[in-house]
Amino acid sequence: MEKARRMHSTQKKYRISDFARLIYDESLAPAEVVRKWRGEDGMADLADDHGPEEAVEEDENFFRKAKHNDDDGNNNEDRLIPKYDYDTLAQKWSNPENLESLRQRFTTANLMKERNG
Amino acid sequence: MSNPSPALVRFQTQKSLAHRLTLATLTGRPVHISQIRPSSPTDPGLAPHEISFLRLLEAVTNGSHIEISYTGTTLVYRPGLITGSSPGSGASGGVIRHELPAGCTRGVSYFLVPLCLLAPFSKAPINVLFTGSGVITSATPTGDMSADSVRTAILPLYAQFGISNNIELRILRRSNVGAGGKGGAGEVHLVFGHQVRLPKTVHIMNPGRVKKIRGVAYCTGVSASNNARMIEEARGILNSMTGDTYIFSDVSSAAYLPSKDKSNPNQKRKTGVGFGLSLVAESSTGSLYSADLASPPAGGVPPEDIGRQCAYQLLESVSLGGAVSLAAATTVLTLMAMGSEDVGRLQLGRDVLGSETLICLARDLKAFGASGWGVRDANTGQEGDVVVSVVGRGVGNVGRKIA
Repeated sequence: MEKARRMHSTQKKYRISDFARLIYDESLAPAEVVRKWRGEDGMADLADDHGPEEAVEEDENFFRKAKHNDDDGNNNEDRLIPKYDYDTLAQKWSNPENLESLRQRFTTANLMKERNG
Repeated sequence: MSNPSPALVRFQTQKSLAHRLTLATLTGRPVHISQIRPSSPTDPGLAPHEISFLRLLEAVTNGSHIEISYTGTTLVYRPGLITGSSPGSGASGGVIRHELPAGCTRGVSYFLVPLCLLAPFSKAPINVLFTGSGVITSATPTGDMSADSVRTAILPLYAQFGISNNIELRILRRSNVGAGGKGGAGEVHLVFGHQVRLPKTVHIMNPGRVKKIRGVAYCTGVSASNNARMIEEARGILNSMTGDTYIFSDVSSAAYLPSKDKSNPNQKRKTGVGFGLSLVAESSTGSLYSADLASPPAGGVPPEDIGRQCAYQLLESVSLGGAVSLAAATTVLTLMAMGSEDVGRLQLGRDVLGSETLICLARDLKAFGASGWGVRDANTGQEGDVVVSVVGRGVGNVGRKIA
């Protein structure tokens, strides 16, 4: 839930120009690229000014998460289907609001309403 | 061919090992992979499924050279030509029998997906029978999709690249994950008879809207009521989204394997007991989104939970957006990179593009000499979708180029 909220609060952080720069930056691990692009650490606004405190915070984040991955032990094993937290998913998709917002991806969506609204 | 010994492409760790070996075979570049599980106290080096994948590569190519270090943590692979199942190179009667070891923890899709990527560039048709006590056709806890999803969500994508004839995946015997997450005793037959010089350049830009959902509920060695319970629960969630939901039910008995007990060699044991669900949503423009879940080998999960969680997984996959789902993106982007020297475009959800798997893929492709991806925001489709432009490498089918 905490994670879901954080992801929703950082919607603006996805900037395609950032991604184009990050993707071939070999100094960053793929997991770091993902986090930076999603803005899940203090460095998200690369263009904006960021103080040294923020950089320190980012380092802390990095070390904590990396350790977590090592504990997991499965960091380097390939998965075609990512690991989902099914409790979070159940909460997300039992919420009628989320289902309604997803409805525009289905043919059952009411196109007239969408156009008017 | 002009350069007899091109420089080794170097990688570390076992990450995306199968796909890196596939890319090496497609591009003809030798690879050096080190640091394969170096610090594992119990199982350092290559795992049984990775060894088995190397054997499969050896079987479908001619002239491949594999060196594995004493500890198994370092690997050098010099690819040969992809000959497929031509007679005289390991195939008997046009079929390569590939036996998976009993200790295999990965589903058969771990082998099928890379093999399908190699198949269009083969000299002769690919015709492989996966058999043995390690074939798991269901989804696995290690994150593999079921063989059903490969058939219904991956293989149809090849048609967009102009590869559509004589492709068939037959699941001859089903199996879930065996005890301890190891092995099953399924049997799967892949026929991939459409070889091309170069795959077509594609522009997959319109995700469309999901119009129907199809699925397969399978159970092996357990009561068929498990299927009904999974289907009912999944339909309960999906029916509100689309009226056209149909989930097939497939019931089969579990396979018997000879017992390892030496004192009683006639005794047999059942393996690969369990149930699972594969769901595929198809959009009006042919985009496919899949979800897979099966009962864990330890058991203890009711079929209702599997059905519900699989349906939620499908909704999540659809909500990520884009014209290709995360599970299929590797296949599509690799085929695009192997296409003619022209720009192909693909619309993806931003969380699909911004996933570790695809970032790894982009870097691997670049390491093998493909040009970098261009990315921009999409004008159409769901908010936040991005368009990836991929320039093909024009490698294509080496066997056909020369012959």
